[in-house]
Amino acid sequence: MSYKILDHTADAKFRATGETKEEALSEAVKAVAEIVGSDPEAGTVRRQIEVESENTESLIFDFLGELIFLQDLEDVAVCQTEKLELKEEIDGPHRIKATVWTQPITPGMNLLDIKAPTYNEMLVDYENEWIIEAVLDI
Amino acid sequence: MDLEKVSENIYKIPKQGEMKVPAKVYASEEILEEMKEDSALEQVKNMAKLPGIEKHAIMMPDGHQGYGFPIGGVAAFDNKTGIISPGGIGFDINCGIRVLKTNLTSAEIKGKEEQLANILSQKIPHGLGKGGYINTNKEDIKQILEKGVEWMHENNHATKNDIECCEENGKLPGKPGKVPEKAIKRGVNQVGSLGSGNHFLEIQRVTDVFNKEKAEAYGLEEDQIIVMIHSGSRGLGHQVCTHYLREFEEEYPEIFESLEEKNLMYAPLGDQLAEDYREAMYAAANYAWANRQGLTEAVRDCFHRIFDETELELLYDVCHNIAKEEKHDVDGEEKELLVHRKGATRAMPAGRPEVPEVYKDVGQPVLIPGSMGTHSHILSGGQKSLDLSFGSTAHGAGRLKSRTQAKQDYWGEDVQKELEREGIIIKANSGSTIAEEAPGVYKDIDQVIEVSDKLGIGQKVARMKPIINIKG
Repeated sequence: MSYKILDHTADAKFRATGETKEEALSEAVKAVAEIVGSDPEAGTVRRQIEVESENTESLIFDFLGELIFLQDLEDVAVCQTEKLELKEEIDGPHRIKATVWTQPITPGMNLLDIKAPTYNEMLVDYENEWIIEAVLDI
Repeated sequence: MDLEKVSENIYKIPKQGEMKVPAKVYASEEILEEMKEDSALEQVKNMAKLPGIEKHAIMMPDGHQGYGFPIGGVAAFDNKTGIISPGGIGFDINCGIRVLKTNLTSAEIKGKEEQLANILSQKIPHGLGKGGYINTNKEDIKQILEKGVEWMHENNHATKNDIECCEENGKLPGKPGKVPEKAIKRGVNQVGSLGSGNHFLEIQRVTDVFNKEKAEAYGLEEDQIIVMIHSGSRGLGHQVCTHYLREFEEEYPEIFESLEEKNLMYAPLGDQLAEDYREAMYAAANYAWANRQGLTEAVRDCFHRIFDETELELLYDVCHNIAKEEKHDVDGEEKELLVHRKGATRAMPAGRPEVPEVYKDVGQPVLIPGSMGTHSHILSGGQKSLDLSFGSTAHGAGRLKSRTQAKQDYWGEDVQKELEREGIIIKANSGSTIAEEAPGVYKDIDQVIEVSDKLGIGQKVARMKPIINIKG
């Protein structure tokens, strides 16, 4: 499992991988942390996130949106997940329940404010491991 | 791709396949070659396939790949039978530019640049989680969503001239009730904040006046110091866009599935959801104008710490991510259209009702920022813009290189020192932020402006060079 920031002309794209979708999603959170400029290995404040969507792509879109919302609302920067549960039902709802480590934003910190998730170039694939790619509008 | 040269700086992709109208690309030969390097030309063709599109799909000379619509894309839809597309407006609803004129010359601020830069950098919230310059609560936000700059005026954050010289007088018919609760929550703490990315605040010097009569009408002269602000509707606007994209997707699964490019998602005008989004989008636009007004107050306060008597008067404020109801001539018939401008600036010529009274004889000021360290421009709306581009022109230089490529090619500190040698002070969160926005990662702004000027859609009035840049 790992993550990588990929090339994108105007915005920020990442690739997150893992043996399970859960692992790949956890790596996606670290990728977001790196894009923001916070520490993907740190965090002092725990927050709970729950999202429910109609399919995998929309679930990723909503999950990323929720991370961005959390940052704006609570003046924190996302770091990593402690626990991430994924439930996907065929023809039913798809859910993520995650405990996310964040760090409070202090005056000296210089962090990037991500605007929004996008569907642009979004990829969810399995090739020896789960691969998630997404572009964030910055 | 079939791309025909119509005349100098005008290229056409003829109507083919599912395209409902032809696509037009306004570019010089050199710019066109750059456009071929990403999928922007493919995206302008996709725009031409949307239901209810009128006359032509357009890409401006600063056009490059975006989400759904290219950045620099303009499309007009019949206001009753057409569509509305959040992806045709952008996540940052009413991202835009405002320019404040000072009564100072470059000689008068000489020696005080560093001090001014430090005060601005300290006082103006930029980046993630720094709050806003104006204190607001949830009720205030609801009022702002309805009234825009008018609320700022009522609460002593704006002058009467600030209202009169703002596009739409800083207020569109937005409905706070249509703005999702989450968006309102994000908006509470951000009135008067720059944000990140390519947003900035610049102190600039007018280096060239190209049209004396119009410059005079705009109150501009050589060597004058002006302030340029680039920001939008912040988290609130982004949340509105995200929310309605998902609502559209759930309401119209068959449309969503049929689209190759999911960010082209749209709703048919007249449907309740389309109208809800339109009213929420207008409300977010009002928030953006209030945000830039909040930044204006911050700039005025900062200047007054050093220059007691300085006046900072609003020249104009214009958005470049929006959809608006306007009347245009289509095949000899006046039609009510919903004009989507995504990374394109309204550029109305003299005589149009949209031009503020004070500029009615010379045309609407068009404010176009360059990349960090290069020229920015002030144009006036050109007569040809009505026929060629539904009263629009470019909005900036347009990116050429990715942020990752930029960080490989440039070292932030080197760029900063190089610009300092040219007399430009940069205040940014980090070296990598500077590298990402280095002048070399953008198209040549002067070339973009030449195309606009030669086509007569937005005509050169004055050009500025930065002295201080506060990066978002």
